[in-house]
Amino acid sequence: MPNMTVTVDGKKIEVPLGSTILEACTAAGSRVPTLCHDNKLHPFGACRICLVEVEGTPRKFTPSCTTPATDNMVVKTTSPGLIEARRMVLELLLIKHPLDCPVCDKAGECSLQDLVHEYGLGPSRFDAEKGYLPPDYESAIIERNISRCILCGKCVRICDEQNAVGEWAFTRRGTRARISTDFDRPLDCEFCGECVEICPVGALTTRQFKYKARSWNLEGTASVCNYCGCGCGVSYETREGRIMRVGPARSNYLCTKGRFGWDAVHHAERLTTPKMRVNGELVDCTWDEALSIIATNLKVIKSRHGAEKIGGLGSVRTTNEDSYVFQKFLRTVVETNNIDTLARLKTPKGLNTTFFSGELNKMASHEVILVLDKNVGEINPLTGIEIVRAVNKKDRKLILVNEEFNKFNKIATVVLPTSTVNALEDLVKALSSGAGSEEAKRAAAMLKAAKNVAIIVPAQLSNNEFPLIRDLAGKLTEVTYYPLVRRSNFQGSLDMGVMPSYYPGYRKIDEASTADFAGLWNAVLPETTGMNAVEMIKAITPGKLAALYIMGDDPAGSDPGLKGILQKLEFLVVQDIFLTETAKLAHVVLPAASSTEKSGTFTNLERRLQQVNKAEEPIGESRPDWEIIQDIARKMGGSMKYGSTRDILAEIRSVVPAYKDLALGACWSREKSPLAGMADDLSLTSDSIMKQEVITAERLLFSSGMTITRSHEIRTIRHYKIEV
Amino acid sequence: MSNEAVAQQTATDNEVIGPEMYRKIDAIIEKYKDKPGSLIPVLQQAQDVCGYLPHIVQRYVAKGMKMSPSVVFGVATFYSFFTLVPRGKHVIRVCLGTACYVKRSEEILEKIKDELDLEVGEITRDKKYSLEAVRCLGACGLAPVVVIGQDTYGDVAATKVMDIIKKYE
Repeated sequence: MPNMTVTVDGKKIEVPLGSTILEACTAAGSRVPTLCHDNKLHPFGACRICLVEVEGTPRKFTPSCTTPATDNMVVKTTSPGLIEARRMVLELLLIKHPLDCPVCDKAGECSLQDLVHEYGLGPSRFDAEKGYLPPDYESAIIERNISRCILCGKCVRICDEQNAVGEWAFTRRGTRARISTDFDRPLDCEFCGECVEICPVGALTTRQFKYKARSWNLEGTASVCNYCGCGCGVSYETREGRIMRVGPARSNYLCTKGRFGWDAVHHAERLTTPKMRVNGELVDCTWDEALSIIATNLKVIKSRHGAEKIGGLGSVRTTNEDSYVFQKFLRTVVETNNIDTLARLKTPKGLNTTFFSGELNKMASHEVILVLDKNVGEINPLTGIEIVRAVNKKDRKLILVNEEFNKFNKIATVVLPTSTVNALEDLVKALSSGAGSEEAKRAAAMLKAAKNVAIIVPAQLSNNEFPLIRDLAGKLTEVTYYPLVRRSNFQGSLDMGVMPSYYPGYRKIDEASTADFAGLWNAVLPETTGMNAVEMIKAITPGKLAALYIMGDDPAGSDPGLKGILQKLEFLVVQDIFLTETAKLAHVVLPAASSTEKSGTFTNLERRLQQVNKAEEPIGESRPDWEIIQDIARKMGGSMKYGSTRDILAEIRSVVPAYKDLALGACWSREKSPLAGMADDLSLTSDSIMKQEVITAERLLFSSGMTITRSHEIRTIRHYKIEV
Repeated sequence: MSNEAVAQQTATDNEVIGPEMYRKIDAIIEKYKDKPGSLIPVLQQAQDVCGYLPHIVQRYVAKGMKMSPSVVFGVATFYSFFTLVPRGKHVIRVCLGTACYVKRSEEILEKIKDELDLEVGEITRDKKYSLEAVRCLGACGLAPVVVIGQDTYGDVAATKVMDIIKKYE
């Protein structure tokens, strides 16, 4: 792009054509105060605090955020006149602002407070009454304090431009103008809290953080959200070692689960001590007792029934390190390949063989986005946001398959109001023969003309849909897939080999690979592949599986039908953060540390390796999963000697080729997987087990398995009903 | 407004807004739905159909126009010619702009309030009249001005205003 020269405060700089004066000033290193401007949003020009002087223009001052810079423009960002003008803007804003900073949660990080402090306002020349309106406590999660509002409209714009929800709007007029909803009803939105995050003052605050801490007392710990597969970067903000609130990091966005749902780990029902079953009742015991019982029982069952009657179900929420140690323990110490995760039942066919996700922040680089799952914004909210950003900021075209109506209908170029399978058939037909409905033809023309297309692959694919997507992709120039993945570290659990027929790094279990891993791990390995999750569950009733070790999953909570089956086990160990429905059936229950209380790595749906950092001390006697398993392995004669998660990651890097030189924060490429382009299917199907996705709230968006049901904040969300 | 209060208001509005009205609104939306920036004419015509723009009608329009109900409410509350409460059969608008005010239009307003026993923004119990105070109607040469329905009256005297109003049955 051609550049132009702009002189800011005597400094000559080059900026791209089309830059605003504000961007030029920022590039020159001159700070211009702003209130209504944010890089995420279109320029708005509401607050007039960003005024600058432009040489040779008839007007005295120019708003820098909305005015395009021109070649050879000479700008001054500070002068006695400008300071006077900005003070006037602040003075006018303060006519109605209550200045209740001592009780305002925003104090210390409030743009208005900072600017008033910087510009040093004296007593006001206006004696108008403060426009006091009572705070609004009717909504869930978010409180609004209308009197503090400066009408910058950031909340209105982020909700519309980034989220495509449009919950907030400017209402009324003149001195009565305020940001509100229709008829001032309580909020009924996605409750993502982006409006609170972006509010420059304390007009929007959260109930979760109310009176909890002052911003200057908070310490941030960068980590990763533990709900869906997007793996958004979070900053856990702690005060005296306890999380007070969570803010966004890398992705610049958090959904309601990420921002507010973390409080599940502070729930009073967290497991704090190990428990063992005595006379049919679960009673507290010591770690030593619990671990000894497990080691003894597993050894006895192994010698009596054989290792193939012991199995392990891993978790898709624990770290890579936990998963790696878990599968290594089962393979090298218990000597079985009966190891799997139930989450494979909730996964698109072809994931990690055909469908490798593109990077989410590159969504906007595609000319056309084809959404095959209308729930994209509910299952993976960040994927949904990236789609809206691509459409609203980069003018990308959106083809939406949706039989119903949701927010994506508002921004879609073409809507195919039919089922996914029908839409795919129509598109393939329209692309090959040009026949079909008006919408299908329009969509096909757009797809055909596009240099590159992003396809949002549904969270679950039927046998019919899978080949149709490949047919469709075959007719297009370039396709990037964006499969939807429900759980935070599902990708990691696959990468770590928590599967009965693959070693870590997707090495298929056969003679050669077994010999390799036996050498790497210096252990005797089972010769045959193991049972998958469905086979293991089915093997319990006929007595082909006697013992099950479940780390961080709650099958009985997700599918009550499994309760009776799990009860038939001779020995059940459950390691979790809560006394789940499954844990209640266990012979030994072990308290695990939550993801806020331990370190390690997650691998998100983009295959991005991300660092999880400990923000709090583990509650009670709870411990990280890998430590617990290592102790059991040692008691059973294994030789694990990891000192920290770093040691484990180092071993993972030596065993999994894709992780070898993978930097933290980078995605591993599909070429690194031996399964790329192969016919292998890593998804499982069952007509009897876990048929339904667990929806614990009114919307899929507010659900995420059983953990989220422990979040106090998420539970307060109510749907607002108005019959039309 | 709380959930309960909204539900109560909705029930009242539902008595007024019948199926015939919704059919007419459907036709209006159908005409404008693909034209960007056409919310104002849609609301205007919907108000002509219903007499006012209650919550249920605004939500209905929002859905039809693929807009957020908050935005519709924002527009409906910005322009003074939209009303969220029912209006009388005849809307009486008294100008309180500078010229009319100087010519004692406030006395006219007080007289109407007394005679019809209502406040500005209210509707008479028989639903015949509603009263609005407006800023400037752009007819300062005729001050003081009163507008009843579509008819404009200039040089109105407080003592005579009720004679004019009574002509509207």
